[in-house]
Amino acid sequence: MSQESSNVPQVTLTIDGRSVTVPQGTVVWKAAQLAGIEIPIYCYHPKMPPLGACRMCFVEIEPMQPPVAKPPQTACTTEVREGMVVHTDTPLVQKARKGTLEFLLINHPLDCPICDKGGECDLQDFTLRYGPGASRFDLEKRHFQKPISVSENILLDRERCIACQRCVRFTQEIAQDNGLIMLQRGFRTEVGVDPNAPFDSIFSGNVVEMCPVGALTAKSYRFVTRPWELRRTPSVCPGCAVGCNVRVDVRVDRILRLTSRTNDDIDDGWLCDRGRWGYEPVNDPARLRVPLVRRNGELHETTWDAALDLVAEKLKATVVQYGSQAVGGIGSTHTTNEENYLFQKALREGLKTNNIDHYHGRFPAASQGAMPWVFTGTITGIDHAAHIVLLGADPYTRQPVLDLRIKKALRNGAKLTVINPEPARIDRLAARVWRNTPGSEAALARALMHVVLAENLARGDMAAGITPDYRSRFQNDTPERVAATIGATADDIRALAREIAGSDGAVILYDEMTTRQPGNETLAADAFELALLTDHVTRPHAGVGPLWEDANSLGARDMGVLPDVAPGYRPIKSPGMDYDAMLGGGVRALWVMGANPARHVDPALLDKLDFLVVQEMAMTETAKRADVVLPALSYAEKIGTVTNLERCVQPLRRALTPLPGARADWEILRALATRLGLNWAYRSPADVLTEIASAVPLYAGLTRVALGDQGKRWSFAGMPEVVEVR
Amino acid sequence: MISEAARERMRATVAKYPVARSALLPVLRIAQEEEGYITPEGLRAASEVVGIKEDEVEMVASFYAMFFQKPVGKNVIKVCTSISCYLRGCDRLIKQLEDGLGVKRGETTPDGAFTLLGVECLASCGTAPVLQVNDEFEENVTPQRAAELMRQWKSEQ
Repeated sequence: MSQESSNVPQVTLTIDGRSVTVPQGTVVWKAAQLAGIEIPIYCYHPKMPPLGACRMCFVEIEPMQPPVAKPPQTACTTEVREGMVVHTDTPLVQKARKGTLEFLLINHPLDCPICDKGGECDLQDFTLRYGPGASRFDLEKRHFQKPISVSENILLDRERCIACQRCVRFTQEIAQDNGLIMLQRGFRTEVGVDPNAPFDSIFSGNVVEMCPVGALTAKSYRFVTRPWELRRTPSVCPGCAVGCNVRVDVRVDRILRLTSRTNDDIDDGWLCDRGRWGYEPVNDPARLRVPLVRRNGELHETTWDAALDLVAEKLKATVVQYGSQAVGGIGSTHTTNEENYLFQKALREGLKTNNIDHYHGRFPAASQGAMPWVFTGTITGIDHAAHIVLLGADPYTRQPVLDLRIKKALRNGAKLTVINPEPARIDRLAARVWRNTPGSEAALARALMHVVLAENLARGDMAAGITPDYRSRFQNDTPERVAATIGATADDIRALAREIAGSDGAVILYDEMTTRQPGNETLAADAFELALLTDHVTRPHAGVGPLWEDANSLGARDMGVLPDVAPGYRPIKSPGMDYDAMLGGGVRALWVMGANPARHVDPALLDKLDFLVVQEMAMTETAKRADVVLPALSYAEKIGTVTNLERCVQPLRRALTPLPGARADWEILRALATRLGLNWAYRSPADVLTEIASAVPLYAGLTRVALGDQGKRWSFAGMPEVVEVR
Repeated sequence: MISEAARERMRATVAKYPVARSALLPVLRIAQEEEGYITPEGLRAASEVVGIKEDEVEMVASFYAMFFQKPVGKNVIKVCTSISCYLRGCDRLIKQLEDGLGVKRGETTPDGAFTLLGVECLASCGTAPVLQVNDEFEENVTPQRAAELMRQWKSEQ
């Protein structure tokens, strides 16, 4: 339960003879749900305000002053009262439900045998449970052209629609983006799109999931299966750093769809289209199934033993000939924590090198207990933020479901400031939009601190300790100096500084990759310091930090896939080479796991390596240049954990039978470690997690059981003891 | 074409309301006065002036029957078909107008002079049957009065 609810008075009522206690303001439907009593609904959706349009959720509520009898009332719009007595199964309620269903079925085609929704359809289920067995309507039903395409990915069968408006309200009120609309009125009402405002929202797929009937269907799922043929496994979306909870629905050996597995703390029940329909690489028939080795310039198929022997031999030979400095490894922001942990361990212990890194934003080393790469707030904290500052971040395209959180905060009254070189969809809702020159974000953060110090606006723990020396630190970073590159006036910048400093809760977010822009070398530290000075680091509904790119970007850091720290950010005495140094000719042999450096550096640099081994699912640009390619499994075929952008460690479960021939990265690492002379006895990623939990203070106490279905967040408060390694 | 003057009137209308979107209906009326019906340009103008998305404007415009979705004639004749007018002979009245104007209910005369519509209650049940010509009421419309009205309308063309 969130911190708010503890202050709300509780109300006790009786539903069907069962006593239920719920917070004041709860609607009867929700109270019944908590008591385990089903009240059928169509228009109501727990994540949206009540509408009361479909008339399906009638209940009888005993009058406060008998004998004034009351007609049935809608459970979705009626708030609970102390002592309320509700009946959900009286003859009057049964009659009302039958009546509503008979009307809904007047125009419904009853094409269930060929409808994709058949088997998981609320109209089908509720008709079976509460409906009339027959219809008295013997006239012609409505007919439409079917189906019509309402977006690139979604089809609409208007005959099946019961006009509940869930989809329209989602696109208009939750996504607040171009979406579906209700056209006409009365019996002519239909769902449609405005031809001038195409339904191109990245959140479009949610309407398919919300549709209580088969009116809205995904093109990718049309006529491919029946729901009872699916095997359903809880997992985590691999699409970005938000880590939305999903259910992976599999038939035989293919993923057929991803659906939301509501986690109120993370996704709030929504998915973006990129995540929802991004499973094709897993099903791709072109996936790698057999290890490949390069002979005479061409990659040839070989056996696992031959490939692994060759890799170990080449890596060892390079170390023998040129020393440990000549080998290095690039880890992954997509693979699990367990695999990244094993990867750095194999390099550090097996090859005695600290040349370990992955592609990431630019962050300073930890100091004085601060880890500027950690988002200090929480995703749910954004809901009630007073001010959100996007400093070179565009969640809509990069971390989409977070965009819905920001819109939720705006509905709750938050103010939004967008500073971005490019136009973004969220601009429309912002109170302030500045078009800055790329790379000027850090300078803006410093100018804001200049104003905070010059006008004595500092608050919190930092305010007391401001020395004259410190005060002069940002002396030269005047708003006047940065105004032109920020696309605002010096007065605008002063106004923003005052607002942040006076805000009840400001959330300051920047994209991980914005820190890579020349000029933003110190962005992470500057943004963190700005939040410290204005007391937004640990305040509720506030926070500062990066928005990561990939599903396990933070996990890769946590696991020490970095040249200068061991797992848990323990500094290392003799740091190794970083990403650019290794690829820029620093090493002779490179070991790449689930990464594609050919996308980030000149691919010709990879050709200069003496030896390149790549663990990968598909033939990427990097794999094409490798000497050995080891086929790896996807997130859906293995177990492990990933860590999202707010430090929540979440479990992946095996949803799909592993692709024959390919192996999980942790299995590949174990096999190579053995060949490198390490004595590893891990039977499964669960054993690795046990080791992580004891070796990495941030992950102390985490076990697969403790993680449950929805994961656990590690606390950034209290930097672990600084233990020097090597 | 939505003229600059009309846009100015729309902006002035929006300024009268504490919440801009409350002005949507009167703003759409201005758009319809300007172009005869709600055109894509009218939708866009309303969306710009009120500051809401165009698809939201279309939801409202298509919901209200008094906003026309397609071009109408110079004169719009709305005949009430609700209960009081029905009991007082609106079916006969519509038949008489259809024959006299040479169009069916819902159609526009080929010369673009008249559009004949059946509409729901015009809130004048005490004087049924009623019709409106360009929003002006004609009450207690007897067959004689209807014939006279048609002569008058045609003479004004």
